[in-house]
Amino acid sequence: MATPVKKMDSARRSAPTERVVVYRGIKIAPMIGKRSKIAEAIRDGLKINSEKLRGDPGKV
Amino acid sequence: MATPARSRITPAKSVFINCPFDEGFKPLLRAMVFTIIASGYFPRCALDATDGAEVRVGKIAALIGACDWGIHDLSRVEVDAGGLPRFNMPMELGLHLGARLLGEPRHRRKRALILDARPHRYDAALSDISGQDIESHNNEPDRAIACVRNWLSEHRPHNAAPLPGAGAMQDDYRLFQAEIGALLAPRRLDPSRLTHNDFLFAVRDWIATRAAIA
Repeated sequence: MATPVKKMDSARRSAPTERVVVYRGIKIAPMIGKRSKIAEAIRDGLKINSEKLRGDPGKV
Repeated sequence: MATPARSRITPAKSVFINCPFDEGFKPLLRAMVFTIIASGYFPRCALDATDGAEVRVGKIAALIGACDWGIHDLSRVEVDAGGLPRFNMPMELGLHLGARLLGEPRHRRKRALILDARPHRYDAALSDISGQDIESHNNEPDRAIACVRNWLSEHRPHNAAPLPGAGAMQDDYRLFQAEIGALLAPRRLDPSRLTHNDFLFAVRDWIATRAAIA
């Protein structure tokens, strides 16, 4: 007898997708694929830096 | 592998890079990759490929076929200690031009930028390429940025947004290098040792961050 197929974990489908960004008037599409640990660390570090800059506009 | 999403990867936005992948050339390659991404295009090169079992020339031909744009750097085509030059780069340029001249109609819109270290070095050795877009970067990353940016700008559709100037891209690249270097220093990691994949993500993530704070 066929076993009911379990639905996929919704977390997988709802993973945040990266969006197109516009920088200096140019649309930059996201890359896909798996980031390495180093690439993740760089992204996280950039985010922290940008939050600091946004908190202190004088530094931008 | 850091590649653009399949649904978004169009030949019109893909730039094939034909160049050496040794350490000595890396500063120029990375400057070009940065410029391509900052211009809204996707850099593609043999470093994208992961299937080592595939015949190399087949991979190269597939990449060339998937890109409307091609940068062919011939600056390292020199006679080596064994008395022979490296023929890979001229061969791949030949594949690109062959696709444009003899391939399906969609390949006729292919554009090629031929780069060399010095002006007119190739006139004597490969005169058949005269009439193409040939520029010299003098082995300087700043100059490579200007060559790639100006070439992409020149051939953009008329309704496309204008690209930032070469000076802005050169400044951005210096800032990118400084910020990524500062992020990696506490981990005692050298930015020049980042893999190609990590570098692509770093460029894109840096641009996304700058866009958010602009």
